[in-house]
Amino acid sequence: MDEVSYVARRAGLELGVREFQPAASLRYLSANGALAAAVQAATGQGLPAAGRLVAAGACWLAWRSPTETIVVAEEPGPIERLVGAVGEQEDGCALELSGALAGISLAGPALAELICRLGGPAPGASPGEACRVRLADVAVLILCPRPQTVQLLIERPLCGHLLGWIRETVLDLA
Amino acid sequence: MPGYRLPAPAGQCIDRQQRVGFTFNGRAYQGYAGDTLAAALLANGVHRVARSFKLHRPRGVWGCGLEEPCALVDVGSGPRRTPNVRATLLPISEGLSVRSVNCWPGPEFDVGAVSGWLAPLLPAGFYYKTFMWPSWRAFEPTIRRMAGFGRIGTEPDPDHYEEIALQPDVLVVGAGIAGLAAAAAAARAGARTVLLGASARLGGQCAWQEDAEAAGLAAAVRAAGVRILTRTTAFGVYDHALVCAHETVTADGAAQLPACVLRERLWKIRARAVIAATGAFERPVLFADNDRPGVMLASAALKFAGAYGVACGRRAVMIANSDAAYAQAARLRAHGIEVAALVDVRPGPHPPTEVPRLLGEVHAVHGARAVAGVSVRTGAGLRHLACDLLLSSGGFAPAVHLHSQAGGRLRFLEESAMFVPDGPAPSLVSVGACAGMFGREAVLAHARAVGEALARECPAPAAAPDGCGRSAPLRPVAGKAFVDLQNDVTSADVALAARENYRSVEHLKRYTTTGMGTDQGKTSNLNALLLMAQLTGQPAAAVGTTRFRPPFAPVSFGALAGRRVGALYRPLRRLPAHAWHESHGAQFEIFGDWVRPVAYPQAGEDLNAAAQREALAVRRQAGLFDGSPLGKLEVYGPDAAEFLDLMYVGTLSNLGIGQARYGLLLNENGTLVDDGIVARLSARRFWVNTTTAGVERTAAAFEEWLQCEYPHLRVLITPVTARWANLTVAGPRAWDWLAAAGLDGALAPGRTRHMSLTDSALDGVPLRVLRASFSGELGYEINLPAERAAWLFERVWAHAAAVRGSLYGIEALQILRTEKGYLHIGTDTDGTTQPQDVGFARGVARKAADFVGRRSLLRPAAQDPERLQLVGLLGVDPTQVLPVGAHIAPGPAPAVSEGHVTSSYRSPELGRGVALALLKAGTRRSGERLTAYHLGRAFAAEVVMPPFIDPTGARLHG
Repeated sequence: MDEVSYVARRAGLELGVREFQPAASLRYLSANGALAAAVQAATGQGLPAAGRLVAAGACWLAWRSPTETIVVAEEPGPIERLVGAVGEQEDGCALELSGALAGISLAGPALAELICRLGGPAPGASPGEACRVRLADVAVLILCPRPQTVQLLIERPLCGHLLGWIRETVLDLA
Repeated sequence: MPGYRLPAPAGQCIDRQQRVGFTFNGRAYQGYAGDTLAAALLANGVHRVARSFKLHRPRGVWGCGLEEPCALVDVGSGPRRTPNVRATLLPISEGLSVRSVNCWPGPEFDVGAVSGWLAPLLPAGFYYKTFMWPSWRAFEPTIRRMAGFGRIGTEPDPDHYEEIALQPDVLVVGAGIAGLAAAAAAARAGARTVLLGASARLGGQCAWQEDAEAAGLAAAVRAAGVRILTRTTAFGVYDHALVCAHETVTADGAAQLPACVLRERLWKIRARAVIAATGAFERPVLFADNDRPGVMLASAALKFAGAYGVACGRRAVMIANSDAAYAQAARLRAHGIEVAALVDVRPGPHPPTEVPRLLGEVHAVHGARAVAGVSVRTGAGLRHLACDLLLSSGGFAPAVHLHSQAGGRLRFLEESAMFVPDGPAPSLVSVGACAGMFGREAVLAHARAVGEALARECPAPAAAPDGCGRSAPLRPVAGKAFVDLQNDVTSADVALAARENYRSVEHLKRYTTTGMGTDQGKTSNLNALLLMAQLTGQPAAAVGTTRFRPPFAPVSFGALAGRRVGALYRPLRRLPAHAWHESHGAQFEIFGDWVRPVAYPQAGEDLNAAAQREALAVRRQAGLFDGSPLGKLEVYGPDAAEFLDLMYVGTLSNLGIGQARYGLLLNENGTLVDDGIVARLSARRFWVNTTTAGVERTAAAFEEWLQCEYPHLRVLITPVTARWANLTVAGPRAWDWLAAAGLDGALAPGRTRHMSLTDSALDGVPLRVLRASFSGELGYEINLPAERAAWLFERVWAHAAAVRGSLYGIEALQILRTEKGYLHIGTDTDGTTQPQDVGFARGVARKAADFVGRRSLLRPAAQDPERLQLVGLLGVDPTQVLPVGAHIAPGPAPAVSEGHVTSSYRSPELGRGVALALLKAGTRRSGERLTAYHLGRAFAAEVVMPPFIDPTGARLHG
């Protein structure tokens, strides 16, 4: 991981890895039902619209599908509190996913060049977007909180594979 | 420099100030920077560069680009050896070393030329008629060795390749004047535009002519901000208009390269709109001995002159079947090449020309090893013309490949004898010559209009194909007239195919192999189908074209693989405690897409010995296993119970909270597709285990059923495999071990039931503890958050000594479950296995409600008592382990198989081999002696009903 960060820096990219990303999954049958109301009550923020990423206190809410929103945070506490607050509803539930996802943060002017070499869209998600793509032949959710900054959420067991691709790619870019 | 070089301004692509040395078949030559190998060889007077595929006829350079069928060479050596490179596309570089293919010792003298004497025995389809006695197998090795062209390197490729994805608004394929005009117009209209050009220079056919308009268009494209990719060839249009293109970054054969370079790029481009400006290929005229070195396409000779300053001969005769030949002849003369005559095979009228013109056709080509002259049959008799260059100008065939791959249709222009797009393809519009438009003004106007329209997401204006003038119909030709030069297919072969009733174009292709070479018939397919049309009295449109398939141009496997080599060959999943296992001596292997410990060998142990020890440790004391990859889904919703009853054989809706049950999943054919334990977490929430390999397809199947058949059910499926690590402890002392590690006493065997799920915690870490067993021993599957996996392994392992506990891996697990007769989906089942075949008939009968696959279990085939059924086998010789895959048969091969061995191990508990097998009517054959055969060996065995140990299952309860 340190080697990848070093090589990425030579290519003008800042790379960080959170192997066991604090995360949760909000599952729901309706984006306007009881679970959505519970999320609103707990965070002051409604579920994000399709393809969007919104801040909700210490958490980010990322649309993943018509029936799922992924929640990420820097620390486990906000995730646990949100899951506890939302719990099980008539039309959905909150599931702890901490440890299921790894988060790879990338920032820098070479970001678009890297993403398109991993198989993703160029120039990558726009600020405020959550985008499902395939990078390095695996499913990734790209979150774009700020310009030239993305967080890649990937199934944790596959994190090493994606980092391997990133390493080989930034070696070419450097 | 020998005397085939033309003075400037000829040679727009070369640098006469920079000489480059290279070797061809071991002999040194020189060229100029910018030369292709073909240009440099022609400039040096080298006219024989290869031998043909089947008949080993001497061949020279025939084309000047991708359409070249003959001049193939092997480039480089060792790990950088590249076979079958077109000499017309290979740039020379200092130290380049190339060799001819398909000849030995060389193209000048080739031992393989004896096959030319056998030509009468080698017509099209000869291998369906000859080499049959005593057996094809006797001849096959020799014929295989003779087939094929170059030779590949045998060492790993040291270089790397990358893959880039683009999503422009408009993609323009082709950098000739039509492509340039379209790209510039699209970009000026505001579209993010990408332009692909196969050459290093923009301008297509105009790139080596002093063409101010083309130069202006190239400048306009740059000024408009178009992203230009040169040396990039689009080779395929795939589903949903995905265009794939191949870029050469480092040319083949470049010397003095670093240890690893970026060789090629694969571009995957998904544009909103695609414009094909791919031009056209010149069509040759057919005449006897049209493959002699010195016979070339007229457009090729022009390109060699203009681009590389090379005269392909000193005195040329042009054979014309199109008006284009007249302009070509004039341009050749302008380059200083003598054109002795223009032979027009068409009846008049003809364009005016200053070149002496004859009306007639080729009677014979003279010159044994290269063209020395030609005899022409005219109305006034035979005329002999001395020449060293015979140019063929038979019209043009639009390059409609990408249009057709994109699903576009074609129509036939009779006058010009060409297929052109019949309207646009979905998501792809053709402009320029590939659309059948050849008049410059009309081409530019149409291309600009298309570019602007597609940029603005408006319908593109239709093309107005004007063809390229009149073309006379093909007639059968006496003598060896080659239709497909690469595969040595003659007009006689096409006639043979017609006589033998291989008259459809697809049969014609496969029977004669025309168009099946590396050139993919770019200059042969049209003539072949026109000949077939003439021979069978059909219109050409009725014969049609073969299906155009990618790739349009050869693509290296390296480019297709990209980064998918070595450790990145495919995505592999790692355990959350991988490092912990590694530090404890795990030997890893890949199971499915997980890297898992197969065993933990100790000093002096091989894999087998380790697995035997580990399995015995589980039977006698306790073992510790990482079951994290086991598939896990959470099924939630008010209708979750009803849904699971529909999905599984067995009833799950009556599970209490904390109860678990084993279930089988079937497909609609009633075939077993997965199995696993389902536990109830709450009134609406279920914990579903699947096989490791089956979790994704099971989740997908559940989603499909919910979305397509049961949309009224309120159910949500969430894969959680990666969220939960799984630490499994199994064995008679399993609980003692866990208790020592500090687990809650409420989990003790006397206080929990087998097949129960209990929420617990250890040091504040939440645990989901499932009492289940795949080993047949008392077992605890402890599920915990993945990031705490290593912590718990270390915590539990610290107390191993107290119970003489052991780590165990996959191999030991397979031994344990085989001893118990527990089935492994996909190993002990095949594509026909149903629940009743593996002992679950009663479970099916007991369930009143419907479930997926139930109806198929009522079919007669499902009731057949002769079905393959899972049984146990004990070798008569207890020291033998029956080979997996061994067929059970009444006698050695050839015999009808009655089943096969599916799982087989040495049981350390029993001290002998045990096996499972699928056997016809197996359950009725208990006690029967039979024989299993494997690779010529016979193994006697007795049928038994599993399990082999603990038949009452008492060990499950500790």
